This record gives sequence, structure tokens and C-alpha cells, in this order.
Amino acid sequence: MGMTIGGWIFLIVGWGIIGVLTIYSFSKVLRVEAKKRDRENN
Amino acid sequence: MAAQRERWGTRIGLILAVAGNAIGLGNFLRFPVQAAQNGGGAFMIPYFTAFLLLGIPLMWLEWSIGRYGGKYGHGSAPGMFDVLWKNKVAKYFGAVGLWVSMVIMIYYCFIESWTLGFSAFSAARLYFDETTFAAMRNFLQSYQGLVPGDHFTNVIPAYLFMIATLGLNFWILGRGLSKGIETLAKIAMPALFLFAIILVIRVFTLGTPDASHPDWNVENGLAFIWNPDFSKLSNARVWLAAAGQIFFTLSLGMGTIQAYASYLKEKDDIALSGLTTSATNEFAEVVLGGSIAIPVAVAFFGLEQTKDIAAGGSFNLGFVSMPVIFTKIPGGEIFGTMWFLLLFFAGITSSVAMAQPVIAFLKDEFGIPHKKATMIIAAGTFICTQPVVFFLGHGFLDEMDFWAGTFGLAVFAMIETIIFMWIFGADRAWEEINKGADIKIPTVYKFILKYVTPLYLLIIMITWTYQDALPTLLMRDVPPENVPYIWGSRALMILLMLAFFVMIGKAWKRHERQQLS
Repeated sequence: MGMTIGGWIFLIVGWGIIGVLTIYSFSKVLRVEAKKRDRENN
Repeated sequence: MAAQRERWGTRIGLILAVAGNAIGLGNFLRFPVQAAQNGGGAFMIPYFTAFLLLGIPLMWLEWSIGRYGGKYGHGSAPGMFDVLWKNKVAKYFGAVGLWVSMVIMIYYCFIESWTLGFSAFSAARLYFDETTFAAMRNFLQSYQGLVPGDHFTNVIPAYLFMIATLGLNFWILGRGLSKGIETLAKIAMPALFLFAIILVIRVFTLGTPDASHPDWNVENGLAFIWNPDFSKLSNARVWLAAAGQIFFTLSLGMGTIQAYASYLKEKDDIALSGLTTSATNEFAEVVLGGSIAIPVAVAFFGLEQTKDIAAGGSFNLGFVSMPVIFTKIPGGEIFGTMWFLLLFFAGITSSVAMAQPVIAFLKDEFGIPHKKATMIIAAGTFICTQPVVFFLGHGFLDEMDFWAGTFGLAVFAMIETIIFMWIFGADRAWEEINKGADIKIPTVYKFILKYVTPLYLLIIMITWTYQDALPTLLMRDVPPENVPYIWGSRALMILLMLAFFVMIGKAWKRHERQQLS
């Protein structure tokens, strides 16, 4: 059987969307928390 | 009352705790089976549609209800609904939220204890002489006390693991929000991801384990999950299966997210936190969950046999086919231990969340101290788990799983959506969701939350009622000898619901007395 082109496209797009969403949201949380800490320290 | 509430120690701790609540056994066992059976890669179209129109909006809605209730000192649905809807009946609708989480907790801990047991059996190589499906199924069933086997002649070992699991759950809960639940999340979640990534790497480097079957390989396993079959998209059942999967995987409609969110401050963000927990859960499900059990099953058993395994259900995949594979690979005891510990961590971070609404109910509405409230719920759970353990083979657990773990979730989600978006009001709800937000939620979600999400839920409820609830209620396909046990299961569930109604009534009488004095 093997992976078809369609299979690879869905895998890459599916993983890509979730990967980007996870990295974006986590990094945003970390950035916001770092800013808050800076404000509190100042 | 609100000023004395506990608070989360850190925001990351909170996000990991809510993500841990969402990430459960279903991420690693249910999702790959659902994807493979419902169109492969094409399943991702209805899956992502449901994620955007049902999952994310309900996640924000539940966080928002929780934070709003917490502002008034309520950590469970009855109190939250009472402040959202100034009507005497509102609090009684909240009983559904207490009931769903409590009933699921009662049977989920028993299933969770199997993963703890099997991780110990993997480390001890106890099942490593059971190299066929039939032998491994017999091993599992003898452990569950359903049949006598070579290793287990009764249910006592499973019972002891159940006690250990319950004990661990309530010990963590007894330590409180920050020291207990948050600390667990900070340890268990990284460990879960680490184990999952190690297992994915091991699966992807398996190649073709049996040279006499060159088409039995991991690539074909991934193809089974990802190659799209677009013809399935015209089938309404596939769209419903995707919506159901999103619903289960994000742990929506249980009252647990609201309980966790009730410990936020009024202006703490929920928009970004809700999105982050959803994304973390999806990463665990689609990227990791889809890359372990099904691909490795195809590599060892071929496509046709894997289809049979998938059709046999999630437990068949997790507790029968996976252990057989561990007996066949070098270092199987290590990977087996990791697999079952991964499932255990996924389970325990969910089960502690299930107990939280009822513990919060006793604390907030009756003023019972935390340790005492935890002990009361621990005792209640222990008592109610007894028939689940001893009548497992008679459908006792399955009956609870359907009414609370499937149907009840949709009912509660529907109730909370109507109360928040239609009674509390869409404008106020939207303002509440956006309060303190670290990201801007697209305005279209106001429309989605008011119209699309309830419509989605309504379609799910009507279909489940017709397809599943009526046949289950009428006990079609139930062997006659199991009928008394099914009635027993229903009696227990009805008693629990009545108990919550009575307790809510008493709690609000207590509030009235306190206000008068």
C-alpha cells in the first residue's frame, strides 16, 4: 500500500497546523509571563 | 468566601494541569482507531472542523464559566449556574456536572489501575510468555477476574492495584491545588511527553520487523491512518465520529475545566490559556497518539489483522496487541513499562480532575475543610467502585460509561452553553471570555458560540439518542443474565443523581440561613 501523496499531504499539514499552534501558544504564554515578571521586578 | 480560595502556583502549572485533564487514554488508544476507521487522512477534515467550531469555543466557554463562578466562591457547576442564571432551578441543572464527573471517576480509576498493574507486569516480564492474541487476552481477562488463568486465579491483584490507584489519587488531591494537582501535572506531563516521544522514535525505527512480510511496516501503518478516503466524507457518521472524538479528547462537558478555572483571578487570561491547553492535547493526540499503537500493530501483524484489532476496540489495542508486541522486541520490558506508565500518567492527571468538582462542591457550599472533603469523596468513590470491579463482566461499567461518559457529556455541554450564551447573554458572555485576554479572539466566535456550537451539540445529542441511547435504554443486545446488573448500575447512577439534588437543596438552605444571620 504505502503512503500516497495525499497521505503525506494530510500528515504534514495536520502535524504542521498542530505543531505551529502548540509552539505559537506556548511561546506566547512564556513571553507574556516573562513580561509580567519584568514589570513586577521593575 | 472568594478571597479565601486557593490559587494556582504558576500559569504553566495551570496549563499543564488542564492539558493533563484533557490528555487521557483516548488520545493514545481511541483517536488512531477512529481515524483509521473513518476515512484516514480525510478524517482530519471533519476533525479539524469540529475542533474549530465545537472544541475551541466550548473550551473558552468552560474556562469562562469557571473563572466567573470562582469570583463568587463557587468551584462547581451548581454554584456557577446559580450566579449565571438568577433562577431557583439553575443550581439543580448543575447537578449534572457533579454527577458526570463523579460517575466517570468511579469507573475510570479502575481502568487507570490496569495501566499501573500492566506497567509493573511489563517491568517484571510477567506476560512475556503470552505471545499470541488469545493467550494475552486470557492474561488480561484473568487479571480482571473474568476467567481463571495461569497467572491470576481471582480479581484480588486487580483489586489491590485499584486500591493503590485510588489511594494515590486522593493522596494527591488531599495535598491541595498547588502542592497536589499542580505538582503532579509538572511531573507527569513532561514524563508523559518524554515516554511518548521515545516510543514514537522506537516505532519509526522499526522498519520491517518480519522480512517474510515486506508490506508489514511502519509506513503502511501510517498510511492506514493518513491515506485519505474522500468517499467517507459524504457519510454523516464520519462527521459525528469526529465531533465525538473532539468532545471526548478535550474532556468537555464534565465540569472539570470549570472547577480548575474557578481558582483563577478575575482578570487572569483564559483565551490564550484555553487555546494552549487545546493545542497541547491535540499534539499529544494527533502527532504522538497517531504514531504509536496503530503503526506498530501494522508493522507486526499486517494491515488485515490490524483492522480486526482496531474493530475490537481501544482496550484490545492497548492491553492485548501492544503487550504481544512488547514480547517480540528487544528491551520489550522497558518499552512496555514506558507505554503503560504513559497511559497511567495520562489517566491519573485526568482522574484527579474528575474528583475536583465534587470536592470543591463540599468545600464551597458546605464549608467542609479540604482534607475532610477529600476523605468523604475518597470513601464514596471506594464504595461505589466495588460493583464496577466485581460485576465488570456483566456490563456494569459499560452502562456507566455510556450514560455518564458519553451521553452525559453532551447533555451537560448543551445545558452550560444555553445558560451561558442564551440566558446569561451572548454580549455579557463574550465580554467575560475576553476579559484579561492575552490574545484577540476573532469576533466570529461570538456567532459560533451562540449559534453554531449549540447546533452542533443538538445534532450530536439527537443522533446519539436515536442511534445509541434508545437501544441502550431498552437493553437491546444485553444478554438476559446481565439485565439485573445493568439495572444495578442504573440504580447506582440514579441514587447518585438524587443525592446531588438533595445536597444542593441543603447547601442553598444553608446559604439562606447564613445570609439571614
